Amino acid sequence: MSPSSSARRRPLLAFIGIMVFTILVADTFWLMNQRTFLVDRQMEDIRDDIDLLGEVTTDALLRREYASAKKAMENWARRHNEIILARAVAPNGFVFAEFQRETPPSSGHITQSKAFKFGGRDLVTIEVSQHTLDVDQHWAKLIWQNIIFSLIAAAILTMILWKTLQRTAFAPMEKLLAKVQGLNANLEERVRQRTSDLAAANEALLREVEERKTAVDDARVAELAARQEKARTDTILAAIGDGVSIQDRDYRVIYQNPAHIAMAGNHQGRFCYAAYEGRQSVCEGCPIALTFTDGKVHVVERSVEREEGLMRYEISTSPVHDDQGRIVAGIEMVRDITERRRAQDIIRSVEEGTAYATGPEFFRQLVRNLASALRYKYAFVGELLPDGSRVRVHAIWGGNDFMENFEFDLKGTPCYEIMLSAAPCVVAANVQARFPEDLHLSTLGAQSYLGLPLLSPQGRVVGVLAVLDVHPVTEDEGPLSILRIFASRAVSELARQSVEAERLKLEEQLVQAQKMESVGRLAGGVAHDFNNLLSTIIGYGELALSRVEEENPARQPLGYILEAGKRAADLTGQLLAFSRRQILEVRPLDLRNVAQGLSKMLERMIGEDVKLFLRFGEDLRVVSADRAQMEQILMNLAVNARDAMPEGGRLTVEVRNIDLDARFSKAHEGLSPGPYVMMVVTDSGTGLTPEVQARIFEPFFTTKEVGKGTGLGLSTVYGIVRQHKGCITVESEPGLGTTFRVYLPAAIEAVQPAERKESTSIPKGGETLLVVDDEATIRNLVSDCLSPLGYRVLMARSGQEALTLAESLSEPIGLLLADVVMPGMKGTDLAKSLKRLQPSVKVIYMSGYLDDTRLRMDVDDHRIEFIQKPITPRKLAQRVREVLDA
Amino acid sequence: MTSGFIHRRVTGLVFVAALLSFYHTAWAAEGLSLGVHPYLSAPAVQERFVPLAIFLGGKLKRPVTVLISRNYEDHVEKVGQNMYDFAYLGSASYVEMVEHYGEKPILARLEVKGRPLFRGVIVVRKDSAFRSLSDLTGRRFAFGDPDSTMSSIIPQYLLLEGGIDLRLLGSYAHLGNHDNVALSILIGDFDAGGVKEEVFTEYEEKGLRALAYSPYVSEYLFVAGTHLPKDEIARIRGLMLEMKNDAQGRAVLTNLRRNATGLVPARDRDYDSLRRIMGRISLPGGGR
Repeated sequence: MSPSSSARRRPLLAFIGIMVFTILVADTFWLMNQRTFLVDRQMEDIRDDIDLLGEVTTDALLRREYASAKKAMENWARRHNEIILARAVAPNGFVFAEFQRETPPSSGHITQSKAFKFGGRDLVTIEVSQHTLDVDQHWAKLIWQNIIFSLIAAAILTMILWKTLQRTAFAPMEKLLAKVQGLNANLEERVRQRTSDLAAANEALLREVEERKTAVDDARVAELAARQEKARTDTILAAIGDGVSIQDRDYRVIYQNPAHIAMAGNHQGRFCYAAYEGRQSVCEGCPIALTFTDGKVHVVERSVEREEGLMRYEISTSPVHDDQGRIVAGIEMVRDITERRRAQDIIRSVEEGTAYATGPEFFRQLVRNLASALRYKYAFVGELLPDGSRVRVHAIWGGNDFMENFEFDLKGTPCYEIMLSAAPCVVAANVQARFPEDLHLSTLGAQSYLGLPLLSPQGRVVGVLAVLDVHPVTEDEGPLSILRIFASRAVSELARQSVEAERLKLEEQLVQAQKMESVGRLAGGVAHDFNNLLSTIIGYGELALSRVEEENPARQPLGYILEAGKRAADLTGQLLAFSRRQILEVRPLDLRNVAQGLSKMLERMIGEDVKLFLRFGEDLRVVSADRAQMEQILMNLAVNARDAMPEGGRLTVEVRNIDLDARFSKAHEGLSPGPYVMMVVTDSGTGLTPEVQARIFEPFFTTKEVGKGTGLGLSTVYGIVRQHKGCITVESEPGLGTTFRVYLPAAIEAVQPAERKESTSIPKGGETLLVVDDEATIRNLVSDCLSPLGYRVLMARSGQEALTLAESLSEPIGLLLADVVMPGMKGTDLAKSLKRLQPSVKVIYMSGYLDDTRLRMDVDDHRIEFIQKPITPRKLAQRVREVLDA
Repeated sequence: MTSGFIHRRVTGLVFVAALLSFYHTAWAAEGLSLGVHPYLSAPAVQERFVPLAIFLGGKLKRPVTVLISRNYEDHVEKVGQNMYDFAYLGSASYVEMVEHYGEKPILARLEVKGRPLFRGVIVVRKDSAFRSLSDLTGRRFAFGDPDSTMSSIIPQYLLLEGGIDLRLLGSYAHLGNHDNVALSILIGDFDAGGVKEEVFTEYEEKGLRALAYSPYVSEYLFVAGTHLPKDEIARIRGLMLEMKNDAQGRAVLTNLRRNATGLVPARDRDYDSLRRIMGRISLPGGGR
């Protein structure tokens, strides 16, 4: 090899080395960027996954469906092969859902986590890891592609360069050397003499050659580098999913990447305002113009009407500077945010549409927004009725307007599947064929159906939310997720309505109880005065009758007076029963005996056209009750039933045990949970309207003709039941009969009642009795009744007068008969003072109305002796003798 | 016989059942009805019980159709009123059904891991300070389904025995199923809850501790309607009791309940202990 070829190879090798090194550095930089881009994209995928899992998990946790949340998350992770770890962590650190998969060999992983809150409270933290196998493999492929590309490029460039250098530099140089060598042979001497000159000339020539060669190399390298840079930039820009365009300072589009062309069409070379907006000048608020003005990044949002609907774009602009820092162009990056905005709009429309509405308006807003959000023609929300077989539609949107609400049978409908399975029902097409019994589907022309159960916090299906369309739809999870958001709102409103209804019911109950209480007080007060008057009428009537001979014509009128007095006394008794101030003779009682004992009388009373049926449960419990009052209840209910069945019918009396729970007792004022006996009286009569049912227990309320009913029958029943610490309910529908249920607490011990034997003869005595009452007629009546029987009867108008009288007496007083309510000293205080003077004295209180609760409890529990006005001679004589002999 | 064979066998039966159920309305009139309460979703109930229906139907030479009641109350009423020829019942539902409608012939009760009894547990977190039931006063308590024996009825009884009336709890809620109860406590939304022992065992490693165990009560059972002829009842009972001696029968049983080992004889008095427990607690309207 000649020295000249060796000299040629050195710069060539140096050039090749620089070329390969430059390509490798550029490739490495590009590959690193590519990896960052791929990793970023995967991280964004993970963030999307976490958001999705967070939404599903949060929703399930708020509904306290922990197991569903766990299962949903684990199933989701199982379906996605790139997931190596997915876990949900509670605020206390407990991992309640976790799925793990082995990381593929030689693969890395990326982990992201995010905490989700609700109402300011930490709810759950979702953590997701994905392996990076796909990224690694893709990147490895890119590396190999680039190595091959670099080698080929280096080889081609070297060959081209070699040829170019040979033609432009080495060939002339070789010719010149040959010429010099020829001259050297001929003019050796001259050469020798001019060796130094030639050497210098040769050196200069070589320098020139070197310089020329270097100049050519620099130009080629710069051109190639620029070309490669452009190709690389184009590749990167083409790979970006968002649209990218570049405008120069004149707003001319000088570049669009494929995504931008797909979005807006190819407008390279045109002014952007003319191309995109059809304008003659720059648009108002143009972000590129703002960037040109202040050199900053600007982000705006634009809506564009297109064939597929209104598209939403996020446009971000940034400046491009030259070497001197001047802005020479602007980059516009366009991102399609239509779906994201749509989801946000849906959630906002639900929030805004239902935020201030309640009841029917809430449901109307809900279904209208739902149909709009999902682009279905119909949407409805329905509540499952208590019988479990029907649904009441609260609102239905029909495409253009609301349709009329209705009720429908579940069976044979898509909703029935939802109710049975408590799971969504998706029918993407041919819904009518699948549910041929559902006539509503054909009426609406529905082709597709998407429905979701409304689940209570306890997990019970309480209703359904569904959308229907007249076209088939695609089956995907998107609409179902949106439907779930609406469903949770619907459930909240149903729950709110339920609470509101409960509150109103309790309020009504309270008002009713207060009304009954005040009427009761009034009735009791009236009864008190009546009883005093009736004591005189009946007492003296009986006395007079006993003193008139059989054939005396005065006996008949006297009988009439007594009869009227007793009827008045019954009426007063009913008033007292209603006001719960009647004194009861409470004993353990078997209601079966009461009903059976009264059956003959009931049959006579209800007439031949009404059939009486008696039914009894087994092992009936005993109640603590006043037998006469229980009979009164049955009689009054039977009379009402008879009047409700003018054409005849069935009257059923049923007695059975029942255990009442806390829920029932809470719904019925004054009841405690526990064992009860229930007496059910059912007729097949005309039934009652809801308005009548609401007032049925009010005193003097009657639906009967004037003069046929007192309006006290059922209020008496009500009073008796309440006084026995029980409860009565009524269920009725016009035309379908009426059922009264009387609940009485079971007695603790089943003691058989000991019947009190009534004595037929009037007992006599000789003790000294002290009668104290502010009513002279009562004092006289007592005296007139008892004196003829042998007693010595002393009388006083007040407590003070009675004590003075007692102090002056030398003989013992056997019995004090005192009115409870008197001006000045009360009967109970008098008794205490008298007992201090005469400890052995016995006491009977007299009253027509006991307002003192404590005293009434003492009477009920037989701690004190008491006689109820109106007083009759026989009753008085028997009671006095009993107490004196006790 | 390998488990793979059993699995294939059961899958095959399910498939056949799916085909048959398509036509069930056509021959239900001359077949027998098996009523089941909806303690799982409808497809899950079908999946568990249709193989049993096929098994029994094949032996009886009569088709057996699985019918699912609307809810627990509906199931008790339908069983009580002989609307099913025979039925599967939860223990509490059985007690309630007998109380309202009288006894029905018991065909068999489930035997799980060789034992026809199960019990409930009141559970708390391992790291909680609760050491006795009385510590739960004023605390948050999680029940399962209101009608569930082990996650609602038994826990109420245990609480009462421990001197805790529901009113003494700070709050309580019914979360639908046992898993929800266990998870709600582990997450910290509730302080304690009631689950069956099987579920407690599953979650014990994850951080649950037993605070109290209930007495053992008798397992779920099958009863026959009183309208069925006695020889028919005896035949079904015989087939059920023989299932554990037959490979196909065992496959059907484990499909019914994972750890089921047989169907064994039972008497009404086997449910007396549960009856006493239910008598101790207040129940809605005398039942559930």
